[in-house]
Amino acid sequence: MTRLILPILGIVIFYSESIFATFSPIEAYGETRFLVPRFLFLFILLLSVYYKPKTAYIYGFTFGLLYDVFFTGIIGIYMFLFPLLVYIALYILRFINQNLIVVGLLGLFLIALMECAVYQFNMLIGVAGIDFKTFLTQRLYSTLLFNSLFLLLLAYPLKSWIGNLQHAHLED
Amino acid sequence: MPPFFMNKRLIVLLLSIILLVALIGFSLGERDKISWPEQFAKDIVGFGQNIASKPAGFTQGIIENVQDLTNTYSENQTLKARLEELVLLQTQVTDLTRDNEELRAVVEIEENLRDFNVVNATVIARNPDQWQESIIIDKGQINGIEKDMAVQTASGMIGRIKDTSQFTSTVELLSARNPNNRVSALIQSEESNVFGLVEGFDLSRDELMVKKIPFDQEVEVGSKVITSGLGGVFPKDLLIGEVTEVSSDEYGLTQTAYVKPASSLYDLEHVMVIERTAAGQDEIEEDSQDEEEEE
Repeated sequence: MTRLILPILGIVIFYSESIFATFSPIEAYGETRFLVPRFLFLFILLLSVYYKPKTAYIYGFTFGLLYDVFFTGIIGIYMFLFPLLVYIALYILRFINQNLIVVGLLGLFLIALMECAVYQFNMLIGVAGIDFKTFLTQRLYSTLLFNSLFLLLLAYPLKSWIGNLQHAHLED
Repeated sequence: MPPFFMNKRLIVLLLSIILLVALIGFSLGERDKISWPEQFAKDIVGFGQNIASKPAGFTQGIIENVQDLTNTYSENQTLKARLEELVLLQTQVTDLTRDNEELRAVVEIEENLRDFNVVNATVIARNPDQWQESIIIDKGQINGIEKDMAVQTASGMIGRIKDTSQFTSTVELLSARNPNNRVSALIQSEESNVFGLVEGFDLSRDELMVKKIPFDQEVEVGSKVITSGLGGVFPKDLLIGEVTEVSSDEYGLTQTAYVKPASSLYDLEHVMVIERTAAGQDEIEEDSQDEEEEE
């Protein structure tokens, strides 16, 4: 039973992203601001730190592929980005301590990195047509704020849950 | 053996980059249909998404209902005033429809660019990264939905079908930046109709741009923009929006009109997929080819 919890949690978070995306964009401080939920990535990041890196890579690859096929229709971007960012995260975390706050801040930093990468890619293929400054004001700041809200509310419960699962797993 | 591991890592990286480029190239290419593994994945994900979106839609519905209740009184007042006009309009419409039918019968025209069939659909997801302006609806090939059909809400046109799988389809909104996403449009003015192409979306104004309007045509601010049906894909008379500003382009040869979309392109829940019944150019060509083969 415990084996099923993580995939189900992953699927629920995967679906919740597109539901939260319907709130966006909002008008705030005289600008249209897009809120891009990146909950799935934060979940995978927590998995990589508090569960097993290998599981995180597999989840990143699978959910990234589903994300590409179902939502964007351009296969490869998230499928490649999720595992790559997990790799970067684990590499950085080797040098600093694995406090939840540190992991959270690292997650936000990596989301910013991912947003920039996706923006650059979309500029390249002509889907995006805004300059970098508009990208910052319209998307990046609001997205980071939105996702830090998610972290504030759910990072600790998720961490302890994942930790418990790992203990249960070790005892088996 | 560190060098060995370094090599292995490097090979994995190189292989994945090659795979990545190949996959992106594959999915960006012009395709009539998406491949069956993609369709399969879409159907599976769409099935779950369909279930997941129900409670969300339900809660949203309740919130909207409560909001509606608060301004019922003022709405009722205006609606009552409109009701009297409506009766007049209705008699006119029936009269004109009959007139039109009779005249068509006289000149023996059967097909009408305005005729279409409607498939009602519910929006189950919006692309979370919001770069590709697309939504996903819960009707697919088994409901008779095909690529390039027009999609509208009760208030106006919002986009066209980008691709379909068995049970879901992706709708590309009018606001998407796609050079192939062009709609042949008609601007209704008092004296004559002006033709143009809906091309592109102005992000800072949140308005569509109708380009390629001849410079000698006069376009009034406030005139309605509808589909012309001349592209061979969409039926005629779907409302697109209303002109807010007209400016001439950089060389002064054509004009560009800014059009405020009649329907909001963000807060979408129920949409209608429009199937044109009049044959487009492609179908006419196909038919004639078939006939030739038969001969």
